[in-house]
Amino acid sequence: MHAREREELEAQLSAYLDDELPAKERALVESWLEHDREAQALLEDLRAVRTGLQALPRTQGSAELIEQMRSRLERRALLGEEGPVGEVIRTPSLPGRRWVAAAAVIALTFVAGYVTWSFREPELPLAGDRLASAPRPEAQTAFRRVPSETANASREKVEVSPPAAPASAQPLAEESHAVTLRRAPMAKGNTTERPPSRSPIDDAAVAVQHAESTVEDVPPAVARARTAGSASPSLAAKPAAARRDDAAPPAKDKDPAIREVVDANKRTPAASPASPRSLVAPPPQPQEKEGEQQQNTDLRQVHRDEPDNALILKDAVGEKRPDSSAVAERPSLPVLANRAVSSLAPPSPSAGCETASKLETTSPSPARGYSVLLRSAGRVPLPSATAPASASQPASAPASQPASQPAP
Amino acid sequence: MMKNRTIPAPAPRRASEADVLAEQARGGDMGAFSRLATLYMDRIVNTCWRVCGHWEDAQDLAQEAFLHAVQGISSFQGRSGFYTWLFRIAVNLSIAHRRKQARGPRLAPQGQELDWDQNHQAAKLVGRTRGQAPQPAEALQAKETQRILLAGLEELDPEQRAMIVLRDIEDLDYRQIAEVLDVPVGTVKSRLHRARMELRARLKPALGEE
Repeated sequence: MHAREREELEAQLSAYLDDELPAKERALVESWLEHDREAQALLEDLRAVRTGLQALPRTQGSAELIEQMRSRLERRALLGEEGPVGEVIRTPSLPGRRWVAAAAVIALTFVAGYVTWSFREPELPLAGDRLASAPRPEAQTAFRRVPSETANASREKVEVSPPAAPASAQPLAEESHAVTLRRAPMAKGNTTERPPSRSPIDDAAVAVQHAESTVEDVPPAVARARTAGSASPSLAAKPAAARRDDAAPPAKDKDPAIREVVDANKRTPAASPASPRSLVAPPPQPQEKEGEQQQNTDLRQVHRDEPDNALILKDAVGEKRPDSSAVAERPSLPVLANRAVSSLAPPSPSAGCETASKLETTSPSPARGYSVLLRSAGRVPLPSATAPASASQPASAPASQPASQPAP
Repeated sequence: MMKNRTIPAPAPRRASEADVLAEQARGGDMGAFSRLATLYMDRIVNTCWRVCGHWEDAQDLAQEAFLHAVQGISSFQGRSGFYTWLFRIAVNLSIAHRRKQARGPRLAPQGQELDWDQNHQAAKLVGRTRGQAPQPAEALQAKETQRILLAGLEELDPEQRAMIVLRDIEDLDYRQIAEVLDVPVGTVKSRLHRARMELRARLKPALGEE
């Protein structure tokens, strides 16, 4: 018998032992086993192996094991655990949960965004809009003293301001807190700076209320000034140089030397095109018409004759009124600035704005009175009556020199 | 030449009853499935034990097999016997478990030996009560033979091990084994022969002493 045939027959022995062979193959194996003793021994070994495997001990599946399986089935069915019944319950609800969770997250995001936006919305309007809208009752009381033209002019001032703050506005902001607060909405546009909870506008509103109770009738000169102001550009809408010119006369009329210097400055050409003043305000009107000049002259005269509105307010609230003669005798800031102009290099672009702001705070003119109310409306701290004493120091004059002032 | 089997393997005696219960379980009758579990739990847990080699794991695997059967009872078509279908689930779970154990750290066989000793002692006790108490020498030799067989089973690959268990322990025929393992009958024949030859080679010293 060949080895190949022997291997095939050996492969049939297990099937022969298990009685899994067809009759024909079974006959072949039996004939082979009759003549081959090795095959008989091999068959006996396989039978012994099978006997030993069948003799392996068996364990009884205890009733406890079946009970455990039943409890697992019930637990999966009731609690929705991983299992047959629980999976049937969980499978259709799983995508729904995901969608609900996603929708909840989206809705929460929108709600949070809307709440944030709605809280930020009152901060967005500019100072001019706040003047017109008057969101607070106290501010409404304070705004009654402000002529409507002034509010419009303030809005115009915001509109004509450049969209971006000039680079030199930052150092200016560090010098004067009042000026920074007043100019910030003009320069930054939609600034979100939050005013203090107890702002000076409240104090100003209280002062205006007291003033209304004591000063009911506006002097006729002031009324005429308001009427004239409606026809002419507002003081607030004018450039800083124009406002300075309006604010300067009380001081320069008193001092002949000052008048001389100022007249000399007026005779000099206007600001150069590169003047920093043009960065924050439109260029001044080329020439006032003759009628307007007369009207402005009348207005200036009225302003000189009439007391300051802020002083009226201070009288109403009982504060001590500063001595106007002392203020008039004291050299004003533009005079000091003009005196020091000869030793100055061309100042920074922000110097003009700063000088204008300081002029407003130092000059006891009607323009200061309007600016006080404007600052009150803009929630700017009111400058104290004695503040010009420090602002008029000669040391600060070089920094406040307008760029339009030509060097002698 | 031919000898009858010394130890008759348990046969699927209640196939028809199992098929009826399986049909009821397909309709959602959990009581019918519970009776099926009671009917086949012994065989399933022993098969899992011999395939995976660990008694505690075999119990978990048997329960898992029944849970899988409940989960997929609707997919049971009835073309094969329910017990064949149930064995397929149990053997596949046991083979997967054994492969996972082979990749991981090998468990110590103390528990298995303990189970083996306990069952061997129980078998001897049952034999004594029946008046068939083996002689001490025969009992010692039988114990040694079974230890060698178990060690040889540990060395087999899971598929060969499953074939040995299904044929020699659970007494399934070749066609049923082919259905359980989803292989042709010829493959069952050849693999089973190779597995027995390997076990014979391991048992050769013990068999030669006889």
